[in-house]
Amino acid sequence: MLKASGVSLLIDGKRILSDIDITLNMGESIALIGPNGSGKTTLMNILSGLLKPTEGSVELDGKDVYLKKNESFVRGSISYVFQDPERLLFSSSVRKEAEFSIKDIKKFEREKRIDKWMERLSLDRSILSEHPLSLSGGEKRKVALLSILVRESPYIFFDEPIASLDPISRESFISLISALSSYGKCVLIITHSSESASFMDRVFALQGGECVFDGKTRDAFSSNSPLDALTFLMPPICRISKSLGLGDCFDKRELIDSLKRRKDGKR
Amino acid sequence: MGEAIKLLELKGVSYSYPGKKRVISDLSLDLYEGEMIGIMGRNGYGKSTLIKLIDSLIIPDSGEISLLEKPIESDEDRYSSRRWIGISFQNPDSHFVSKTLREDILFGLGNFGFSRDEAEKRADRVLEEFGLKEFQERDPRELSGGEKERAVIATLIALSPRILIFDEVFSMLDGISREMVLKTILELKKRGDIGIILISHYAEDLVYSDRILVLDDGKISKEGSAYDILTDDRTLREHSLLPPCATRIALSLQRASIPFKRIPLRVEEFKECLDA
Repeated sequence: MLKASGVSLLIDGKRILSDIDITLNMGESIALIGPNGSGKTTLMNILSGLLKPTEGSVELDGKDVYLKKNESFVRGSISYVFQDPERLLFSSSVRKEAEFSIKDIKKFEREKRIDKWMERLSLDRSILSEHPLSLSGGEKRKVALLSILVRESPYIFFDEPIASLDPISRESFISLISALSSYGKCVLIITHSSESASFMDRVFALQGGECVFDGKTRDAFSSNSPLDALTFLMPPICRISKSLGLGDCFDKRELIDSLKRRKDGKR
Repeated sequence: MGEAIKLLELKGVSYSYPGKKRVISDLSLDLYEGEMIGIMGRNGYGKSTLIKLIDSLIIPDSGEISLLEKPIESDEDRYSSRRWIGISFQNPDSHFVSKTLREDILFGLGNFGFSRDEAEKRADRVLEEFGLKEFQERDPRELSGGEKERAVIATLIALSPRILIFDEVFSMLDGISREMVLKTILELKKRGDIGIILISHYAEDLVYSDRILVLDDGKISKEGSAYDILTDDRTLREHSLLPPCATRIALSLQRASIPFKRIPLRVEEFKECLDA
């Protein structure tokens, strides 16, 4: 369990984050959403131990993430996929890149993991010998993700990992992320796509450095939610159902049923 | 009014990097003033190479590129062609070189040989036009997502380009910033003397395009109006793309026998399109 309590961050007297409490549990996928500049990346940096808050604490399984003695435990437990992961590519081949962070495990297991994640990311094995920088933008991003996912850390954080992927890759990547939580991992993802957020179990929303919602995804996107006023954060299906006066519909099936019911009612 | 000028024309352009297979293959496209075209395709379709070709950073192996109805032939043509083309890249931070936004705008103008006086005048004009005056002494890297993109547009417009290319500029923006940038781009289109190329994987970004080109393997695989392309679920999926969200929802509803007068492209027009 990763637990942040009363976290605030001040930079040059300016409050970037205010009194944030958040607990991340294993087996859970959480969308961290909010407008540009609301403090999402800052909070992710704090949760992963990269940035120390001005006030408050962050503990991983009861251990303070900022203590030097806990550093290797924290690094080993949390994988962090940055906004432009391809910038971190440095090896001379895709294989070396993928093996870099798992050099210490047995060759057989290493191969198995690489195979597994390449398949899940729809990467062809033929690129293993290629230079990462010779690949297309989308492939580079997938290779960067591969090199992180093979670590199989219990906590995986993604900061807008899907922005430059084509929609089908994005769809499969989002289902991959929500699948990670069903394998027992804890996934935290920053996304501007409310559609992608709707696939996660839970939503944590920030606005101006404050938590404005923390709860089940369905509740986040219902008309009683405090997020309802921030229309642009709402998934399209919810906005459509609202514009049609149909109340809260969360997926196409519910929308179809509501429309049919309304039509039958009119007869 | 005279006929619209053809700002850009690619005729049968091919390109391959040394020792590699062809990235761009016999590609032809044109762009007229006042026009906005959308380009989309699956990851690896040759987008970056196409931009480099248009900006004369690489030279086609075969075919011809013309700018303002004149073929680009010599190195001199290539250098001067860049003066007319403004490119906004996916990561706005990659544009900024100076400590303040004003200095950044002046930097670009200085590079293209504008006098200090003229550069200052142009900087004033674009800062005013794009509502950025209050940010002129700020570090552009510290602006919000939407402001940054407008800052990039201002630095480009200061040079009076005829062609603007937006490369996946919406992908990192939240909904409000996205609307703000899109509105700015649509206003630029209205000016009539600029041709705009919007590049995005996301159909939502391209709904206002006059035409959309779907690229695959360095070739144009499909071309048509925004409506025809973006409602063609099957073709888009064949290219790892998807229709806009509202369109996808409407198509599912239509398959469940819910009638539509017209398939919507935007959430905002969903209600009026439904044949209730």
